[in-house]
Amino acid sequence: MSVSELKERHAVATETVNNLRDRLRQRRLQLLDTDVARYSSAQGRTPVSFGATDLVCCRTLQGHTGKVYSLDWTPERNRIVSASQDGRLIVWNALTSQKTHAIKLPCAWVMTCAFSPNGQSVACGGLDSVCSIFSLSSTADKDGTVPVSRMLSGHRGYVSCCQYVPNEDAHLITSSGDQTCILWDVTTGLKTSVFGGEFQSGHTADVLSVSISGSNPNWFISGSCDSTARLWDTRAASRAVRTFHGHEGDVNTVKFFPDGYRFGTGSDDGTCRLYDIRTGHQLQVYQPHGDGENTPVTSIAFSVSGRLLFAGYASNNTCYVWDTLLGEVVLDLGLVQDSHKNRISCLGLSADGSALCTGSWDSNLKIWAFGGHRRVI
Amino acid sequence: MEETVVLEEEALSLVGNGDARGKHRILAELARVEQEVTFLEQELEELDQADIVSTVCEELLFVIEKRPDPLLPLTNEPLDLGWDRWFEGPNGGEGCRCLIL
Repeated sequence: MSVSELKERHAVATETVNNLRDRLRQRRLQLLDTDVARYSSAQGRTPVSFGATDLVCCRTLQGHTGKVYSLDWTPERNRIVSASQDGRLIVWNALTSQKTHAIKLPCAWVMTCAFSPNGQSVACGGLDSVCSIFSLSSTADKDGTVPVSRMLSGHRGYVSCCQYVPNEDAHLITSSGDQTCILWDVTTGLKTSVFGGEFQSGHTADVLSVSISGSNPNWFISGSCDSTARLWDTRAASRAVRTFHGHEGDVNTVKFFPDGYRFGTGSDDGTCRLYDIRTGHQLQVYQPHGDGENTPVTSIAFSVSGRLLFAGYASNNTCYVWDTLLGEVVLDLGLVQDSHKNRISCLGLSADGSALCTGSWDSNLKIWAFGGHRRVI
Repeated sequence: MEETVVLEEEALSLVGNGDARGKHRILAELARVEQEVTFLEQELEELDQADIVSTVCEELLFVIEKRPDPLLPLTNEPLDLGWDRWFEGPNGGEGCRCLIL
């Protein structure tokens, strides 16, 4: 086939793709008979009501000397690893506020950290384009330097996010500024699969966040500067299972819903959204009222039932607590006593859902829990 | 922001010079776009069988309301005494505050 024939065929196929996408969009609109907030309100549900002293800051973890960029809890409840602009990972016992490890990183430009499922290792990545693994049983020198037990090299851009596959200490997924995600075998340091990249149907801009399903660890979601979130099956890396449109800016953060069949996103367009995996529907948009300008969402997390969506924003110390069913802000942790003094950059729930940890540009982490009178249905 | 499929400038310029590499690149890009057509047609077919949003909302309501949640003022049983461990023993005021230098 001649080049001109190829070009013509490409143009025809391109137009077909664009027409199909339009048809998909129109068909989805026809199926969008309601959203979660309207449905729940019609079913008689009312917003969660917090008293002034219900959600309280019960710990402030001090020790970093720079902005906190990332945090992760252990599956066994009480320990947290945090990564900071100061070039360190700190491992905390959140219950006692004690630091158990302070690891000086070979590359100070860290963006993400994660605990292994067995709690014995931590992973981190950043502008060095490498994901480094440290064993917490290794001895640090007086400077806090710990030998890297494994380096996962292969990304061609910064490592924006990393997460271990649930219950698999040997597998970890990273997202990168090189537009791909990678599933790694930590024991060998080799790539198992690459998701996206040149000539594959993947993200078309930097990937900023990943979240792996707790109920089906073969699934993960990625969020990207191309304004989409994508669902991947690790058993079939050639293309995304589904692409989720709707956002009008970078998707900075993604998080699976507790049941594993929905997920949330947070974006530079100032909204959080809830999507359904099986149908692909956008179920709800969480958009703050007022202010005029849309403040980017930096991080999100769901409470253990999914009723609450915690969202950190890139202004002041705002951390909205959304009632996911009614689509309303029911609390701003930035207005609670002893709140952070700067932007909240990361947040996460403990494994049993009893505490929320927030990390901030004020260099602290804070633990929030319910200290009010709990009523049983 | 809508995704559009655009032929790379580099490939076009190489093709203009009759470069074999450029043709190879166009072939690969064409294969990708034609595969995308197949995938989108499959997705459209699946969408014809998909539930409307209200059906999904019904399921979501059920899933959320059945699970006990320690951060809610009103929640289901069973409660876990461990949820209140954050208010037992020393609080943040007595914790370690040493700065890492």
